[in-house]
Amino acid sequence: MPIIELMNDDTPQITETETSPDSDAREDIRDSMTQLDPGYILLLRLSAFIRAILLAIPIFIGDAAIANEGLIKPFVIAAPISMLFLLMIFLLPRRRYNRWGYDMSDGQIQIIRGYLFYTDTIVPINRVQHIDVAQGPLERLFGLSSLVLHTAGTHNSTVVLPGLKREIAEEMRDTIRDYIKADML
Amino acid sequence: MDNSIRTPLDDALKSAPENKANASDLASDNTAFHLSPLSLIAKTITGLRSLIFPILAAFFALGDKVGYIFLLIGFGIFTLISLGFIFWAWKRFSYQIGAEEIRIESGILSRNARSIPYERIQDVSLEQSLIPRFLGISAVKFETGGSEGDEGTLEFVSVDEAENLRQLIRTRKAGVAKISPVDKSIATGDDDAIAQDEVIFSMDIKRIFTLGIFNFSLILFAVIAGAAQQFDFLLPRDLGDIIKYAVDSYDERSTQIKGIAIYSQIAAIVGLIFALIVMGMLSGQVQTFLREYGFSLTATDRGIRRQRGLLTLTDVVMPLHRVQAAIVQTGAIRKRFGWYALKFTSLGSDTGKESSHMMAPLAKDEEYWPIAHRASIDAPAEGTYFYRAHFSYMAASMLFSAFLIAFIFCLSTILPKIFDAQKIATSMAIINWIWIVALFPFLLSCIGWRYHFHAMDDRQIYVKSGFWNQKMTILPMVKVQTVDLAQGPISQYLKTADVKFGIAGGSGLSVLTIHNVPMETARHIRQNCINAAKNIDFSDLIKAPK
Repeated sequence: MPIIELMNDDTPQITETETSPDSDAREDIRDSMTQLDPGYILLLRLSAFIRAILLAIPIFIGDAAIANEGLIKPFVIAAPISMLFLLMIFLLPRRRYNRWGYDMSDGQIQIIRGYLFYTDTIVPINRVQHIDVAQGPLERLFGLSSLVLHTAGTHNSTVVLPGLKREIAEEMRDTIRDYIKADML
Repeated sequence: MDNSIRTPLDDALKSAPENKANASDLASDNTAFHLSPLSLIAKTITGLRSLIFPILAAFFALGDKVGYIFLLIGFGIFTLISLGFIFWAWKRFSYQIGAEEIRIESGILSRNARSIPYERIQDVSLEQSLIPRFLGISAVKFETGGSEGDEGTLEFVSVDEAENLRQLIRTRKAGVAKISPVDKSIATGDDDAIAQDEVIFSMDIKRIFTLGIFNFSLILFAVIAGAAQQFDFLLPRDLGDIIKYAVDSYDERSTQIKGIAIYSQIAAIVGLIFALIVMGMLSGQVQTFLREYGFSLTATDRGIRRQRGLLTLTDVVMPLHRVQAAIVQTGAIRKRFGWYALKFTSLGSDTGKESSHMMAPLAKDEEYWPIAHRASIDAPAEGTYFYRAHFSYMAASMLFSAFLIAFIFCLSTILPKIFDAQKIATSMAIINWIWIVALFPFLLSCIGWRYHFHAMDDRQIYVKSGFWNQKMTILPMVKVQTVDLAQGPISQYLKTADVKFGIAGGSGLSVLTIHNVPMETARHIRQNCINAAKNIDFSDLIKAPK
């Protein structure tokens, strides 16, 4: 493979913990990560449900109106879309939840997320500028919080970790703050 | 030096009697404080101000008595509701002065608890616009050097409280880290410090002229063309007549006249192209001279001082410890002559709209690397191996082009069967050739791949990109803020990833990215950066060396 990048001899060796190319490295990483609070699944489900309801109303009305004109049979449009909504409410939240993971150790925070578009972010804690613990109305209902890390970077100036128990989010916040302080001294 | 940072306000603060029961007096315990109740009035007035135009519009639109009554009622209800919300928001907003941090809690339905460690606060600014000034209150803004503006704002607290807060934070900060006097003196701008400094780079007239040639641009032409349209009665008639004559006679299809017409047409076109080139040259020169005339860089004890400009003189000092990355730029043509431009990415943006700071618009290797070296950024060592991206770089655009071509192919087979072939002959001719256009995305990404390289040594990351505008970004690993590994569906399948770097300053739109490297290389690059970044705190990084 001449045009593909070759690791030549002076490239520093990859450490032992790295996996061999044929095993799925992402699954291994996920296993070593902390999962979000399981309550987050329910939160995702509820917000998907609310969104679905809001979208379904006009679709059902439109469907009824067109069917009334005799152009289509009733529910020809609404039925498949409802199926899609059901999928989004019952199937996707757990999958999305499973793709999230975080790990805070050794002066860094690692956050992985996404399935089709997978992102794996590392923030060195001493690059954190300030920290938010945010709660939306639904999150408050479930006692969950999002931890928002602000950095000075123009890309990734905010790194969000949702679906944490309030106490855990606050604990992480304090840890990060203490780390920043200790680092300064 | 220290005297220069003290503002009159600080001195006034010193003598101010501290008899008010303020948050800052009770700083040690974590009591939550509300904003000044006067801020309710200030916010209401500001809110009402934005209602003036809608109300005026409604007033003129309605224009009868019943309408006015409804307008009044509507206005009243709206005001009451917004008053309610302003009060509620005030009630739910509180701040704490902790031992290590400022905590701001806010939000009516969505609650947000922000924690700003003292070490991160770069500056506290007090802002008083007209209404708050009358009310004796002030907005307090905490700046942390992050890229967003909204890092922490208290709108509004009483003036005394604001000043106490500022003083308190300054002392708190001083307790952990000394405020660097160097940064502050820039703001005050005392000139005696730069008196005996060394010029490290400058451009003479000849150099600026050369740069002007490369800055060939048709902007001035566009302006003149626009003006010409406005004032076409001032232009000589002849040129227009010749073209008009050529076009008209062409239409007549008389072979004899056609011969002449083609000559005059060619003459007109050649003339036009010539005029365009002259215009482009001229406009490049004008723009360049206006901006770069008298370009000089001086090394001062506060950083590199840049002066340039013909009519608008700009004089900027770039503190070297604030430089985050360097960009070496060149064009496909100017590279052949060995000309490059050097820019620094730094906290804050350059004058004008440029997101990076121009340090040398046209310079040779031996001229600009020493400048970069002053910011501890160095050229890649001789023989550094630059890696190409994995071929998956082109995969997405290849699929896209293939899809387009397949679609066009389907059209060209199906359409003649549905429609009368005679009638759609012209459309078919277009469809039969349009696939070449469909190849463009793929070809462009091939060129992109051909010119995308990266390299890494023990201290810096190098990323090259671009064919016509070539660019190499040099990023010292310690300056990294965050590192992402990103994968789309294709790169997941091929086990490659994009490495995206969060850097302070620069443009948020063009993220420094190493595209499509094998996953393990990507991890390796990232871990090197993170390890480097972990060892030095960001506050130390942007602090001036003692």
